[in-house]
Amino acid sequence: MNRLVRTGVALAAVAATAAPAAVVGQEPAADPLQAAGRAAEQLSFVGVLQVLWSERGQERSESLVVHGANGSVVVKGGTAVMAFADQRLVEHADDWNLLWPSGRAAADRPAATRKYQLVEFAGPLVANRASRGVEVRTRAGRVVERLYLDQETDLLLRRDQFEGGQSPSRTVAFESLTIGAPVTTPPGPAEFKDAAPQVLSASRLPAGVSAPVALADGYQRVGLFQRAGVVQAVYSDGLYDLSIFEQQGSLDRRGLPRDARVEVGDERGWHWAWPGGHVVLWEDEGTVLTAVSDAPLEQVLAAVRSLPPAGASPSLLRRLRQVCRALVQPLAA
Amino acid sequence: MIGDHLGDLLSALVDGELSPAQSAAAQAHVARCPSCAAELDDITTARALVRALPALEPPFGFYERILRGDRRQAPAPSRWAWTNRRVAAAAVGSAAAAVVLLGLAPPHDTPVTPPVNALVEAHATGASLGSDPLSRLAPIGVPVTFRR
Repeated sequence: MNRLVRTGVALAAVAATAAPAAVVGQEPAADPLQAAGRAAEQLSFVGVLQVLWSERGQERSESLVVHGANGSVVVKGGTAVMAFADQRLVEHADDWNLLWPSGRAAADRPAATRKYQLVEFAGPLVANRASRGVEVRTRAGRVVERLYLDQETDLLLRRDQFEGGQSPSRTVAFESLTIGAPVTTPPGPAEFKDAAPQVLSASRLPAGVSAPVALADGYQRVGLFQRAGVVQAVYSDGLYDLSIFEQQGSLDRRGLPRDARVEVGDERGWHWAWPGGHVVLWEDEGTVLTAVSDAPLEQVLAAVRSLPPAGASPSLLRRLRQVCRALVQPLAA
Repeated sequence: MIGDHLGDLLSALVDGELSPAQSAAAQAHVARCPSCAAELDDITTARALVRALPALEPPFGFYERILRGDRRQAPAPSRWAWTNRRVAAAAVGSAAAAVVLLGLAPPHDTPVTPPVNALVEAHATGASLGSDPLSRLAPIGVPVTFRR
């Protein structure tokens, strides 16, 4: 065997271990995450979910107990979360908060296939269950997600999210899972605090709030809400959701890390990775903005940088920057 | 200090002109005073911007003419040039006055501390509607800290 052939065989072996085996190459019939959502609502199951993510260069993981029955799904970690039909509740210190009541969801998301290509492949065993894989790629061919759904039921067994590297940057995967076992889920809490948002009309936004109908990279506005004085504009590109929360005032910078800075247009903000994605926080002309998303950071930054500047009158610092640029640009040319 | 705030001491802090004891006291104040923390951040940002400005090359022969003390080639300023200089000086003076006035204007915004954990929960629970609840809700089962 000559050197070229040996090299080819070695590369093929590496590719076989790094990439999904036996790519079928067909688009799935339905949105895989919606299909997985319906399966989770209909099945009885109990299992342990592992959440893996990277935070400031450190790999972190946490295991959570999850069970579903009778239309409800409960996830228990340091915080307990309950999904019951289209209601969502979160527990803090033995008190349940109703964050989303029935009928308060955002509008339908755009089709993921508008921006991404979905390709099915034969998946591996996950938690001893046979899976079918769905690879999600950008139109440029970059892999952003690999989903592994239970072949028999469509329940999501594993979700890998990529941010440019070969290894996933975030993973949610079942370590163990029993489907069909008799599971008794706790009934919905008898008492809860109503923390539901109000739906806002786009034509009646509070003064100073800018929530354009679309942002860069294909994000379309699908909902406008207000909760405890904070306006939440929800955007989606069909696969990822991006929430932009706006509050009037100046940012209290106490306790903010000095080494997690990021540029957002003319402003400098802060960035954190959390187990489900990214948070970007910044202030723009008396408006404090917090963007939360499960999208790759590159997409989050492109979207938030396309927001129009807040406020009618630019600040002293912004005016100084503009003056400096106006002075420098002709000289630099 | 100006009242309860650090004022010019912030510039001295950034320039490293304070003694170790003064620097420690100033940093302790910044840690508990949002107004001074914001001002310190603005000073740091402004300095970074100025430092990021590109270096400018002087016109060809500039240094040579200075070294020669050669002023003969410079034409006598015309009346029009004198007028331009007066206008420019007035503009610079006005700009400096505006900067001083704007700089002295008190901030009118109330400090906001975004409840990042609650915002993350609101986002993730909302995103799970009409989608897969397991992969969307599991991350908020893991408590995280966003501030020091």
